[in-house]
Parts: sequence; C-alpha cells; structure tokens
Amino acid sequence: MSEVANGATAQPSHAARAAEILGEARLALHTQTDRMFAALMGLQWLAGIAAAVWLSPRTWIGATSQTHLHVWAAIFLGGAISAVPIALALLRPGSPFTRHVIAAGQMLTSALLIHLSGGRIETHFHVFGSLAFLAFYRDWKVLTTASAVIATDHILRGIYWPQSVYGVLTASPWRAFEHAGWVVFEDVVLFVAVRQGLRIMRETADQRAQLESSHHVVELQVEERTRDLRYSEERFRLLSASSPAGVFEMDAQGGCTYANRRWEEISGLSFEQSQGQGWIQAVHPEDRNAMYAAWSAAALDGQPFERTFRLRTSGGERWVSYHAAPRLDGQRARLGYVSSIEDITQQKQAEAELIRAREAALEAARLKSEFLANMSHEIRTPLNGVIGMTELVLETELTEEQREYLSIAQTSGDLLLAVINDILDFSKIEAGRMDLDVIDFSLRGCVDTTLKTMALRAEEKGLELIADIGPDVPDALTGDPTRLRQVLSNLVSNAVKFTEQGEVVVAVRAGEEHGGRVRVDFSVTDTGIGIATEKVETIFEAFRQADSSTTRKYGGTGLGLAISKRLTELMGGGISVERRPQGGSVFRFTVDMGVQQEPAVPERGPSVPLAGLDVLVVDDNATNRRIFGEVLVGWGMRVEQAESARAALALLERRPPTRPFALTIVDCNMPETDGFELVERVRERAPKSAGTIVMLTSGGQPGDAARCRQIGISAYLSKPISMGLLREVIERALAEAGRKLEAATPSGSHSRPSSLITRHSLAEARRSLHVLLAEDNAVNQVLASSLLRKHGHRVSIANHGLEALELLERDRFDLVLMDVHMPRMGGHEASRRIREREAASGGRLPIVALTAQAMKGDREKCFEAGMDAYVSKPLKSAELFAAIDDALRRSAPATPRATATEDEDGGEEMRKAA
Amino acid sequence: MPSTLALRRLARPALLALLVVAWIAVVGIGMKALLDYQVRPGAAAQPPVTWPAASAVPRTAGKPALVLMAHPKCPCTRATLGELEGIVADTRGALDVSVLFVIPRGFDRAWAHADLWQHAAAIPGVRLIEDPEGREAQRFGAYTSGQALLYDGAGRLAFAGGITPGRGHEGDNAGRDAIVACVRPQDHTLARVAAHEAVQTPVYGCALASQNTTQGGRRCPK
Repeated sequence: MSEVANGATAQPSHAARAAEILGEARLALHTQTDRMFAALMGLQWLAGIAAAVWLSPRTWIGATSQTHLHVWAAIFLGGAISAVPIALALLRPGSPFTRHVIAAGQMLTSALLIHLSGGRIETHFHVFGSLAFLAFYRDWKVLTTASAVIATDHILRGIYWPQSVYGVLTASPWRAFEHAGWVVFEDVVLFVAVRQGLRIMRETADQRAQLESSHHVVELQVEERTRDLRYSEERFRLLSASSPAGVFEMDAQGGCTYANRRWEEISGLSFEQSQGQGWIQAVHPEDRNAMYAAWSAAALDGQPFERTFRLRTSGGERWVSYHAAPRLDGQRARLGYVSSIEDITQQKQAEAELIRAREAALEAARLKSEFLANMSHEIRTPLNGVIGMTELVLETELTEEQREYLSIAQTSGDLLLAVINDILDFSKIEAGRMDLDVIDFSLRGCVDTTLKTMALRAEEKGLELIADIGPDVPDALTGDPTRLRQVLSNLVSNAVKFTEQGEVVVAVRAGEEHGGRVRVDFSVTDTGIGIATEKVETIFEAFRQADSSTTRKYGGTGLGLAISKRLTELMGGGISVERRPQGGSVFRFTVDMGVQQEPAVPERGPSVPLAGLDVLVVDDNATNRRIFGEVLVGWGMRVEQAESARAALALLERRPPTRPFALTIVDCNMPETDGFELVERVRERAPKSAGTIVMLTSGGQPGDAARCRQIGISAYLSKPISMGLLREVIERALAEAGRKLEAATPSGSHSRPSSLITRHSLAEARRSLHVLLAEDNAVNQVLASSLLRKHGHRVSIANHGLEALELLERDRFDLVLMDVHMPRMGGHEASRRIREREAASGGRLPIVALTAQAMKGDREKCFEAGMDAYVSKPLKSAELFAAIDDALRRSAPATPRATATEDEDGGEEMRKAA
Repeated sequence: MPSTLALRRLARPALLALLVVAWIAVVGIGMKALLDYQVRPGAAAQPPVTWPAASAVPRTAGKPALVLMAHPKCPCTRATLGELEGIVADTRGALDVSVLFVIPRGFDRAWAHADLWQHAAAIPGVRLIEDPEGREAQRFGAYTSGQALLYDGAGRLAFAGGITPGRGHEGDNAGRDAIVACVRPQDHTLARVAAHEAVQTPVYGCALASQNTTQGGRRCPK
C-alpha cells in the first residue's frame, strides 16, 4: 500500500491490489517451494549415495574389489544434478528460472535414482512423486519442463540405448505409449490441481484485497472516529476544566470516575481522593443518608437526579446544587451518571438574608399597619365625638350666632376628617395596604348616592348636576362601591368646586364584558375653569394641584386625584383628563367590575305599566331632556320634549283632548317661566292635557310643598334623582292618579292629589325599626341613638356583647348596631353567638358593624363573624342609614327595603373608611 | 557504450544460461558414462557344448540343467538372481537349477554366504554350490558373474549368456526369454538344440576371476 505525505493512504484499485497480493503469494509459495526442493534435493543426493553404497558399494574382479561406479555417480553425478538447483534455490528463490532448473534437476535425480536402484519399479515412483511435489509451485509450466526432461531422457535413451529404457534393443511402441501415458495422466491431474490451486489463490488474494480495502476503510473510519473522539475528549476536558461548575462522573455503582478541578475546589478533595466511593466523604454526614437514598432510588430507574445538600470542607459547610443525568448504553442499561455541581452557598446565604429581610419587612409593614390602624382609631374616635356632637347641637334651638359658629365648627370638622382620611388612604395605598372589597352593589344606587351628596353644593352654585347612565349599563355589580364612590365623589366634588356656572355631567357607559366582568367607563364633564395643558400630566401626582393658587383659593390636600388614580388602577382601570375646547374639563376613568349572576336586589318591577304612555319632559337643560328621554323611552313610553315653559304650553295646547299626556315631568328651575308658573298656566289653559305632573327641582324652598298641592303637582323631588327613584315616583303618582280618577267627578276634572309624593313621604312609607345598639362608648351611644330616633326608630342600648345577647333573648329587635371593640365580649363574638342561635332557631337578624379600625381585613372579619353591613366611625347619618339599608337588604334579599337614607336637603359627602 | 548496470543486467541471464548449459553438459556426460556402464557387458563365456563330465555340479539325467555362476558380492548379480527367480517360476520345475558361488582365493565360505547367497537360497528348487577358487566356473568356461548356461536333458548346451537387460537391471531380456523358450519349445516356433546354435546373450556382472582368460572374457571395468 502506498503512503502519501499527508498521512492518508492511497488505495490501488481492487483488481490491482488483488493481483499484487496474488503475485506476493505466488512468490512466497515459489520461494518456499524452492527452498523445500533445495532441502529435498540435498536429501535425495544423500539418499542416492546411501542407496549406491547399500546396493552396489563395490565392484569385484574376482578377489579384488573397488568402489562401484554407482557410488561415484551418486556422489558426483548426483551432486552435480543437485548442486545447481540447490544453489539457485538459495540464491534466487522464487525465480521462474530457479524452479524450472529445479524441475529438471528433480527429474534427472529420478533418472539417477532409478539407475542406481537397478531400475526397481518402486524407484519409478520417484518420478510421479517428483511431479506431485513440483505441483507445489502451482505453475503448470514447471510440470511441462519436468515432463519434457523425462520425455527427452526416454527419447534419447530410446534412440541410443533402448535397452536402458525397456531392457530390450527394440521396444514396442505401446511400451512408450504406456510410459508416456502414465506421465501424461499425472500431468493432467496435476495441471487440474494446479489450476484449482491458482484459482483458490486468486480468490484468496481477491478476498484479502477486499479485506484490506475494508480494513483500510475501517482504519480510516477508526482514525476519523479516534480523531473525533480525541477532539470530543479534548473539548470535554477544556469545557470541564473551564466550567464554573464542578463536573463529576460516576459509574453504575456510584463510584467517581472523573472529577474536574472545580469539583476539587468546591469539595476540597482531589480527584484521587474522590475516586471510587471517596467522594462521599465530602458530603455532610447529616445529608449523606438522605442524599444516597435519593440517588439510589433515581439510579434504580435510570432517572435524572437533582438535589441540594451540604459538603463538609476544611473551609466549613458549603451548599451545593447537584444535577445528574444518567448515561445509558444501546440497550438502555445504566452505565453511570454525569453530574454538575454548583456551589450555591452564597445563594443560600442570600436566601436566608432575603428571608430575614422579608420577615423584617413584614414586621415593619405589620407595625405600620398597626400604627395606621391605631392612628386611625385614635384620630377618628375623638373626631367622631366632635363632629357627631356638633351635628346634634345644630339640631337644637340655637341663636344665629351659635348656629353660625357651630356650622363653622362642623365644616371644619368635616374638612379635617376629609384631610385625615386622605392622608390615611394615601399612606395605605403607598404602603400597599389598600385592599378592595368585593361585594354586591347597585351601580345606579352608588352613582345616585354620590351625586346626592353633591347636590346641595351644586344647587348653591346654580349648577346642573346630571347623571347620565346608559341603559345598557348593568346595575347589579360586584366590586367595592365605597372606593368607587370615593373616586366619583372626588371628581364630582372637584368639578363642582371648579365650575362657577353651567353643569356637571356624570356619564356612565358599559364597556367590554368578558368572563362575567364588565368594564364600566365613567366621565365627569364640567364647564368650569379647566386645567392648563402643562398641568395635565402632573395633575394625578400626589400633593399637586393645578397650581398653588388653586390651593389657596379652593383648598384641598392635593391627594384626591392621586388617590383616585391609585384606586382606579386597583379596580383594574385607569384615569385621565382632557381639556374641553369649549372650556372646562373631562375626567374619565374606567373600572373593572364583576357582574352579579343573580342580583341580590332585584330591580323594582313595574307595579304600573308604563309602556305606551305618553309623557312630556319640560326642561331647559338639553342634557337633562336627553337623559330623561332615553330612560323614559327605555321604559316603553312615548316621549315628547319641550325646552321651555312656553314651548311646553304650546305643545300642550295643541294636544288633542282625546290624547292627553299621561305624565309631564317639569323642571322647576327654568328661565323666564319656572315650573310652578307653567303648571299654573297649564291648569288654566289645558287642564287635562298634562296628565300627572312630577316636578323636579335643583333646590327646595319652604312652601314649595304647599304650592305643589295647590296646583295639583303629584310629586316634588330634588335633583339629582336616580332613575329607580324616578320610576318609583312615576308609578306611585300614576297609581295615585288612577285611584283618584276612578273616584273622579263626572265632569272628569282632575282631582288634585291629596298627598304630595316626596322623598320624605317615600321614606316615611317604610316601616320603623327597633334597633339594638351595642356600644360601650357613651358618646357614640348618644350620637347613634339620636340619629336613629330622629328617623323614627326605637333604640335599646347594650354596653357590651354579653348584654346585647341578654337583651336579644328578652326582646324582639329588627336590627343590631354592633360595635366591634367592646369589653367582656366584642362585636365579632357576639355576632357569632347570634348566628349560632339562629342556626338552631331560624331567622336572621340584620347586624351592622360599627368600628373605628382601619386594619386590613376588618371588613372581612365582620362578615366572617356573620355581620351584614359595616360602617366606620365617626358615624355619619347617611353612611349609617345606607349601611342599615344594606343590612336589611342582605338579611331579606327578596324584599328590598330601605330606611330613610337622607333628608330632603340632600346628602353630605359620604366617606367610608376601610 | 552500455552502462555497468546494463551490462550487469545483460550479464546475469547470460551467466545463468551458461551455467545451465554447463550443468546440462556435465550431467549429460555423467549420465552417458553411467549408461555406458550399464550396458557394457562382461567377458562372454566359452562354455563346453556338452556337460562337462568332470563337473561336480549335480545333474538330473534327462532333465535340462541351468547353471548360473555368481560372484557372491557382485551387485549386478542381484538383478540376475531376480530374473532367475522368474525363470524358475516360468519353467515350473522343468529345470534343474544350480547356482555356483565362486569363492576367490583368500575368502572363506562365510564370506560367500552373503545377501546374494541368501537370495539364491530363497529361490525354490535352486541348488547352491560353493565353488572355491572358481574351479567349476572354469570347467564351464564362465568369466562373468551372472553367466547362465543351459544344457538340455541330453547334456547339450542350449543357452549361454546373461539373463538381465543391463547391469543390475531387472526386466525383459533375451536371455530369460531364450531359456524359457528352450525349456518349453511349444511356446516358441523354433527350438535350437545344437550347441553351435546355442543362444548367447551379453552377461552383465563382475569378473569371477582376477585375471583375463584367452577365451575373451572381460572383467568388470574399474
């Protein structure tokens, strides 16, 4: 095989290589046979001498003798015959010339031996044996040479010494034929054998060439694989050596077979020490058993293995993270594991630090919450006393001066409370302690309640305060109505504050509904002073108002919008503001609320069908007209509108007498001709056309009620008015009108309503309650009981939970106002006892929690204890009665009831601290 | 001018050819000499045409007698005895066969009782006679070992000569054929009984005596 300089081997063709191999084999055979014949001829020479010495050692002449010629012939002639072939066999083995000479010599040896043996027939076999030996060359030409020598010998003898061949002077041709025939016969047989032998040699050479070729290919592949393996090994070594992680290899018995330097650094054990089971010594004794058991379990199934454990080193304990992957052979039998080990000591330390820091942070947060709660309690409790008592005093007979001073005190108290609430809320939000309630509530009720608190202030400034709730906005929602009211209240309050004339419109629209939730979009639009463009970006930041002059002029802490922003974000939405080109601003915010699947408070069903009734809406405010129009049309009524008293009058006069309006809704406060004057004119000029009249006013005046009765107005209500209340009023008024019509005079003249429907009359329609007040604080006892009695309810007082339970056993109550923190037995425990009793006896007594706490989870604790509603101190009338309504509704969901929530003057700001 | 290497290349096969030619010549000469020796007969006998009366060799009256003279140590006579064995077998006891072993002066009987004696003794029906100093051989006029003389039943010489085709070679030969033919004339078309018509064939063997005789006997060449 030839070698090339680059180490690759150039393969000759298969045939060429086979021929080369055959040539080498033949040469080797010829050489070997030459040497064999060299030895054989030597032996034959000696044998000839021995035969001559044995058979004819001496020739005699009588008594004398001498060495027989045969002996000399054997020695010299035999030597001559053998010498040349032997010499050539030794000097030129494998040469064709050599073997031909050997063939000739072998035959001559046969002739000599035959002669020396006296022509013994057995000696003739030497000829045949020689031919057979010559066949070893597998060269038929050699046989030809040998046969030629025999033939020549016989021919020459036959010619010159025939008697030496056959023993007679003449011989029959058949004798010659017989002699030749035997030789030819053997030649033919040997020729066939030689050919077969050559064929076998060729086949062997071919197979060997093929084998060499395959071997060469395999060698190349092995070389390549070895190179790849070496490269892979080298790469593994480099990777392993440079790896920041310890690399560790185990056999199937868990003994270490390889470890890199990093392992040595981590474990403190050298590779030699780690070999076999030595690596176990590095594992911390306390972790050894568990670690080994886990490894054994994983190894049993040939699964990957991960664990963290400690190593014990001279430098102390080290935590390591161990990852092992099984090595499997082709039959999925486990060969061992290849592992990586990372020193995670620092990580563990960091984790411990984190845990400590977290615990410290939690402790700090807990302390902060406690502080907030305590501060909230400590601040609210005396403030409750101040504000509440001031309210009570204001309801007594006072001089103008006293009333003025107390009003200022009350206002100051309210302002202080607002500031404190802002600060506490902001602190809570910043501390991440602000949680939202998730309770069922009425969206329209929430909006209405909020606007009612602003109505008085808006009326004082002559502003229209309008609620525009889209008809597709779901009313029964789940969320935190308190925080929603807080945001809405803040925005509306700001709008009213910064608007001198015009209107403030609160619009509510339903956004996308998804998965039982709905996005509700709110907007508060005002026609006020607006916001400077450069202030738009920062207006929601804490402690910023539009400018410092705003603070001086309008007051405020600057936290309201920041709190509103946080709250809207907590409620899954956001807030924004934009300037209106025509002046004023629009604050928009969205919240994400749940939709009640089974509203707890069913909307009031119609008791009087409104569909198909004709209604006239008279209001100079286009927005009001639009809103009323949409709502009334939504109820199936046919609506006509008039933007002024004059237009309304004209419309009514044109109305066919056979088709009077069933209902007329009139705005009291219209320019030129107000509502009262319009109604008076209608009564004069088109007495039947207006039907039942409902008057809405922005602010009531003394004597309005009497005037309403006088001119036949059925209902007189202050704005803003919820659509639910409007419907209730319309139904009640129409129902009242229907009863009156049945009892009408034959003339068909309208009968003036004997009673005027107002908010108060509606409230009075609801029943009075016997309330159990469980409160340990004397001031709060006085305050709460006064508020309740003012609204027509009876109050019994218990000083603690135990006393409350005793009173409940002795008397029947409609509601319990339960202070949470009382001596002997607190409100939570007392509520739980009450519910336990009810579980046995049946029924459910509404319980409203009274608390000054601001702790997270207070509300949840109250509800968990079985309470139905929650109001925080300092007590505010509106909040208290709203909570009472809520409790009554929860405890009797099929029968919506309500106490008086506000007086006719409108409400006050409602704040509920959580 | 051819280069040295070329000359060497040319010289080698020429030398080899020369070597082979020389070898063949030497071998040829040797083989010729050997063959010459093989076919060179010894001194022919001058036998009496009738049975010598003074001969001490026993003879059965009326039965053809074959007398064979042999040197006890002549290697060529081994083949003669082999042929005699064949003659005896072919004649099936029709011959009275005697083999005379000439014991030269200075040698004793033990010397003569060598392998040839043992060989002859093994031939059935063959009489072995010791012939000290070759007296009987001389009576029969034999000079060469392997000389065979056939006398018919009347004592007339029928055959004189060798019974091998060459020195030390067994095989078909005229002597054996003649003897067998004489004994069984029905196998051949002619029967020669006149002594002057006795068949003669060359005799291949060693000289029985050390000196030449005037009868033309030859001794084995050195």
